[in-house]
Amino acid sequence: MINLSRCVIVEDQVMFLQLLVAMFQSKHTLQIVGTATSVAEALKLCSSLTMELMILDLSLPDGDGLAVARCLMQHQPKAHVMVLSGQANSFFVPPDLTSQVLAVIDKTAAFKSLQIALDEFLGDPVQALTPRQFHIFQLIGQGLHNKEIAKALELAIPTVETHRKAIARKLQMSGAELVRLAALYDR
Amino acid sequence: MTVNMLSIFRNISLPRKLAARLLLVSFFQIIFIALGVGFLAYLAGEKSQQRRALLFQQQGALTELSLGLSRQLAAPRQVNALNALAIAQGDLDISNFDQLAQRFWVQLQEFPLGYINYGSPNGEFLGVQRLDSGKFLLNENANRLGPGTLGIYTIGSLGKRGRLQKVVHGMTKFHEEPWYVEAVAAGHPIWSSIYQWEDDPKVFAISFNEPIFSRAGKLQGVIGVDFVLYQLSSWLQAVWGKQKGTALIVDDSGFLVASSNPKLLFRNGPNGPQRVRLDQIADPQLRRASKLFFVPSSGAPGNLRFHYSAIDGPPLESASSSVTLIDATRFGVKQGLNWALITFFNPRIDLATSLPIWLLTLSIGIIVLVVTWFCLRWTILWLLKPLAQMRLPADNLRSSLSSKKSLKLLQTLSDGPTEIESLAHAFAALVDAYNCQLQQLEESIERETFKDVQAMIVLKDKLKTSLHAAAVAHEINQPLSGLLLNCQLLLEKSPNDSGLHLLNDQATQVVGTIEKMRSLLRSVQSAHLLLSLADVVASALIYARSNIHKLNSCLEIEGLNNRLSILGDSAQIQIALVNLLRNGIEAVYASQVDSPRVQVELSRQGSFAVISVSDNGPGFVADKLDQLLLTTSKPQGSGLGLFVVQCTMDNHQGRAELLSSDLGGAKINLFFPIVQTIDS
Repeated sequence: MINLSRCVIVEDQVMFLQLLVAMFQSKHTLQIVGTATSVAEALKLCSSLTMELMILDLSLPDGDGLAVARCLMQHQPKAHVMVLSGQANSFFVPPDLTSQVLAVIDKTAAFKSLQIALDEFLGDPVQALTPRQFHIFQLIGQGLHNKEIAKALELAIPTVETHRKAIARKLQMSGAELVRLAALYDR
Repeated sequence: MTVNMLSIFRNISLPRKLAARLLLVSFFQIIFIALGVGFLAYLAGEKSQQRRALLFQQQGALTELSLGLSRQLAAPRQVNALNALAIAQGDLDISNFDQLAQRFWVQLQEFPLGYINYGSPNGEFLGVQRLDSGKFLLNENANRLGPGTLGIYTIGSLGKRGRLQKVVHGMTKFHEEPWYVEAVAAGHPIWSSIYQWEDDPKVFAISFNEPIFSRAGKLQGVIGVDFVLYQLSSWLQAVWGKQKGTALIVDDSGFLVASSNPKLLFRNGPNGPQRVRLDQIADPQLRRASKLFFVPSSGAPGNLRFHYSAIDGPPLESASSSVTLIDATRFGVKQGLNWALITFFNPRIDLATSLPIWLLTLSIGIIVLVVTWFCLRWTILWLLKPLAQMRLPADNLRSSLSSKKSLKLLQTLSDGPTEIESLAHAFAALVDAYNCQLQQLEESIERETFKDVQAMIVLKDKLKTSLHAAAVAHEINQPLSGLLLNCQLLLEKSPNDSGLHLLNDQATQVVGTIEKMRSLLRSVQSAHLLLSLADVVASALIYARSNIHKLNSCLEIEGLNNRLSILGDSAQIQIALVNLLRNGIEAVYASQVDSPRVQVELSRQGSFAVISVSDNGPGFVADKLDQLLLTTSKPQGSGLGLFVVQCTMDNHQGRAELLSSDLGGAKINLFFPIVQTIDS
């Protein structure tokens, strides 16, 4: 029902690469199909692997990450790039790459910024909720129990439970995961 | 004396009103010119009257002279007429020479004549002569002493013939002298031409002669009256001498007949005395008269004839040193004399001593001009005085502006026209006020400049410190990124670990500080390339959206389709723009507005490309706008954000402008000079 997005990570710091891989595991709709630690490896992947997204570090030991981005655009014009760099703020996105580059993220802010960028890229399932479901989702995020939600919305408790199950089904989550997402969801 | 006069002149109080003063000066000028012109007119009139008087005098004297001369010439006619009548009546026997002599003697007593004579056709002659001594002689050429012999007798009392005094032999037997021949030829009374006496060639005479005929018409002789030219001259001298000039009687060939100066009449020739022609006299006045009244005769070369138009004209004025009227009048035309009366008339009025009229006119004209010129000059200088004084503060102002010296205020004005003076006062006040303002302005500029310099020193110190730290920053950043990511992943798993939270917060703080340092470093150095400003903004927005999470919900973008090329450093501009966006987001969220808005707009203003960042936050505090670029307005701010923007704009020869936004908050315009490319 939900399409998986294939992703390649290009990062020369192995420890940081591993952390990223670990972080991405929580994204159910994202599948890491390959990793590279140099321009040469990355270029090979561009031609050998099909991907929708590349997480790209710019300063690689054997060259500039931009060459990888251009190669990717050549082989897979529909693929997108998220630049993850230690000098992101001074990176000027070349005009020919503006449509391809989805985000330029500071490495130091990788955790949160990358999460948000990924969510946006993958599509936020929360946005698919109906207004009534979204309202209940927000109240869950505020830590309210079913009984309190029913009281706040003047609904019967079974109705709230039905809504809650529907939301969890829509977001493909367990009950606990739903509470966590709702609490973190701050938009 | 002169000093007193001057001081009196100075003490006269003249009107200070321009109109009154001009009226006064014009009035004096008119009076002065009127007096000058009046005096000149009076002089001219007086001169003209004197001339008329002179003319009348001359005409009077001339008339008197003509009348006298006519009387002189009438006597011979009357005597001849009486004698001819007596002969015709038989009272006088022409053959009785004693009776004739006695009658002639009687007539000489009564008439102003010199000689009365009779000549018979057979050559006999009788004449009675008046001597200069008043005695009389009887000249007789008759048969008494034999033919051709002239006997000269004295005449006693009562006209009786006296003793024989002298005998002259060799006289012509018959009359050949012009007086006889011409009268006989004419057959009626006639004036003879001038001739020399046969017995005394020194004597030149002219005579009036009448031929006597018998009842049968036979010639019986000629009776005549002689005018000795010398005696005519003596008469002329007596009559005209009082006029202080010369009077001449001249015949139609230019020869003198009589002269008031008898010495001029004759000159010595080889055969005794000769008559003198007018042009032969050395006197310049007489030469001039000869040129005026005579022209060379066309018939007889070397001779002269009358210049009739000149002779009949009015008197002429001599151009010599003294005023003399020269006049010529024809005389005796009816009597067949055809003479001219030439007179030189010196006036009794001494016109020569008064100045010539042209000299007077010229000098009075010059005096009037000079006085008028001085009056005008005086007025104009007086008029210009306050104007010149208006120049003084203007010059002072100019020199003080160029030399930056302290300004000198206007001195008191002297007396000029009140109208212009009040203008000058107003001008002076204006200049003073201007000077005052200028001084204040200069002082405040100095103060501001001093403040700016101090602020720059402070910032440069900050920058120096940052530069040292920057080198370290990059090295720290790499492991720190890993640390942060690791920490945040761990926090996800155990969100209540306070140690992890502390670690995360502190690492984030370090990252923030390092980021600021790097921004600063980036804004110091710049590498300028030809850029499309829209591309730079687009790139900056990609970064900003990726890292400033709240931005996505409130960002509005306009004008990114404007293709504006500049020379610039894309990274610097991007950092500056992200700084502004970050400030905007912080401002709108800090003020908790209902619907936060941050707007980025790219536009063109004249020769500048403008990036505007505006928000609907609280905006800038108006009275601190000019200081904002150098200080912080946030509690935790370092003041570096806007400083980076300012440095960037300086690097790009542009400027930043802080305004209030239409959205209700702050607005910052960044102006970049546009580069004209071939495409554009």
